[in-house]
Amino acid sequence: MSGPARSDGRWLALPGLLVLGLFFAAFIVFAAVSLLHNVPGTASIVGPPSFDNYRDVIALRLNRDVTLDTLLLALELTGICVLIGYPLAYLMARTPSRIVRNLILFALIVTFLSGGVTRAYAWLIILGNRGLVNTLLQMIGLESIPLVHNRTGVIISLVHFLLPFFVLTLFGGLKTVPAALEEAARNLGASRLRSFVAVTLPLSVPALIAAATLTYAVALSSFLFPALLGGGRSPMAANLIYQKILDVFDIPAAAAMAVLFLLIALACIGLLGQLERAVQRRFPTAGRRA
Amino acid sequence: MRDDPAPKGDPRDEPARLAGNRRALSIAGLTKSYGAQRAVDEVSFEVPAGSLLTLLGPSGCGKTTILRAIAGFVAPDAGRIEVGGVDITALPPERRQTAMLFQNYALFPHMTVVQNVAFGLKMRRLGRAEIAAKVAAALALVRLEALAGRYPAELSGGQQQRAALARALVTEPQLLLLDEPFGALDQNLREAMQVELRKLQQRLGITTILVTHDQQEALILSDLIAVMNAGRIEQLAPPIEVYDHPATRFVAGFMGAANLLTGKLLARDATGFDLGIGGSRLRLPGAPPLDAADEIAIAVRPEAIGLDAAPAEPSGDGGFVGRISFLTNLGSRLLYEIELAQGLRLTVEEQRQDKTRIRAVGERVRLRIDPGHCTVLRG
Repeated sequence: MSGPARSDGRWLALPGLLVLGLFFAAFIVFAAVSLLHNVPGTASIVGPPSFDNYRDVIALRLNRDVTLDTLLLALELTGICVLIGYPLAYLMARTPSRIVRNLILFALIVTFLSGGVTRAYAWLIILGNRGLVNTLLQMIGLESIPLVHNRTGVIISLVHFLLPFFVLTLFGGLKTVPAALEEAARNLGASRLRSFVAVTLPLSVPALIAAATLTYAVALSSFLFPALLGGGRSPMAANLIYQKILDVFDIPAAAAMAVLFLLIALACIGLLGQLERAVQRRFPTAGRRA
Repeated sequence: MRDDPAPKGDPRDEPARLAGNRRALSIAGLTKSYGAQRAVDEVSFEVPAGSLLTLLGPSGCGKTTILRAIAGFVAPDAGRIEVGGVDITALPPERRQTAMLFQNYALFPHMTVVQNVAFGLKMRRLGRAEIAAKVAAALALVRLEALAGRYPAELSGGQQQRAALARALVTEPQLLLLDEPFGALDQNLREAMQVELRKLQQRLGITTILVTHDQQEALILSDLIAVMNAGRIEQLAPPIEVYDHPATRFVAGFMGAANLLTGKLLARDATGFDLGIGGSRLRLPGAPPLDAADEIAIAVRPEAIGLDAAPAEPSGDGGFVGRISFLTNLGSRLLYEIELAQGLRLTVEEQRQDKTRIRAVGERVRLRIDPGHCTVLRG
């Protein structure tokens, strides 16, 4: 691309940058509010600025527990997505059948077309105490198991929500690992499993970490499914912030929680980024064609 | 390698040792369909031990499917594949003693050259010292010792190919399978690598199957060429035979540059037959093909036609007379395009030396077609 064409391109980014700037400004205002104080029993906010809200948020044990729980739950969800999602992404990348690939793709993204609330209620119908799963269990003479208003329901619905993010990101990376490399390994005497472990798996590690990082970031910000399927028994960080605003009207405290959680989340994702860079150094040519 | 008492790392020993692994390949009735399409249609051929056979044909002719069936990546619908008399048709790829050189080499990008070459030996669970010795010998064989520690992305195209070749040969395979191995190289390097590969193949005496669509490449490398079209072998013969005497119209066309003429059978006797080609008469030795009810097609190599100055007036003796319509000067050779009175267009090739007179475009010429170099085609 020539020089003038590139400088023209910069102007095209302007609308997007303006919108991003607006959002960021809104967040800065929200963050600044965290330094002010709520007048108890009202929604009004007064000065003088201080870090009292931060002190209070950190002092409350519930906040610390929920934050830690959110970080761990997001990790757990990412782990489940890796276990379920890798074979799916691998199948999508390697199947010679366009029908199989499109079927998986369809199954993954079709529920995206319905809204989140619709999906949450669909899960309630399936998993509820009188839902499809438990009705079936009872019909064959088994005890019903509680699948909603607990952690199980939150995990099931969130895995369903997160899987497309993970699978589609990993699929993109796996497609760049030539199938001929696996054939070369088998031609040299490696079984199907060994050729996967020795060749495809290491070459897909960068894409795997990228997909897991994205999944982890999205999982951290979960709100809807914990609210509707957790029944308040498995709140995540976003649910706690929501409660602070709408139940207690303490916007400054909620802002302090949001800022703190954002910093912690950024630190965790930064850590994953470091891991990705370390892997890239270990496999200097991973993902590139020979 | 100092701790290795026997000097088996000496690269000069390698060819002799590998030559002990000579095996013949036999393919019988190989068939493979994709949907309604017959990619390979009851193909049978034999490759003597130590020979190089080229499967030559346009894309989609089934040549790659045959190669992949030999390697075990394609399960044939019918037919047998035997190496040294042993049926390997049902074996998975990893249990076959075949080594494939892939089109883009398929070197493992996360492994160094040494690790790439050692991979097949590790899969065979050889000892560490033995692997080191064999890898060193294989790298010496392709003159890549100095780059052993590099990653594939740090090698040039020719070096990558040599690394892939070392990786394939180090396992001492019974068959070497080459899938369009020179396609990714530029012209000069390609010719050098072709010659190098052919020398190595002859030195090791390893039975080799080459797949290519490049007839030049097939001529340079092969002991035998199987010209393929639409899932079948049209002709299987030594390169010179395929070049000089193409069996079918397709082979003549695919081997390139041959003039195709069609004519009617005018007369036949004990020593030959006369062919009428657009008002001219050509006498050919031997007997016409049995099914020559209608038209007979013949191929004439451009270098098998001579040019004389044409008489000022049409002689009416049935000779081939025409006008030079285009000239290509290739330095050592001249290519004349001749437009015949009958509306035919032929290419004539002349060797050129210092004193060769270059004929001008527009000049009228009379063609001397050597009947001994005409090939009657079937189909």
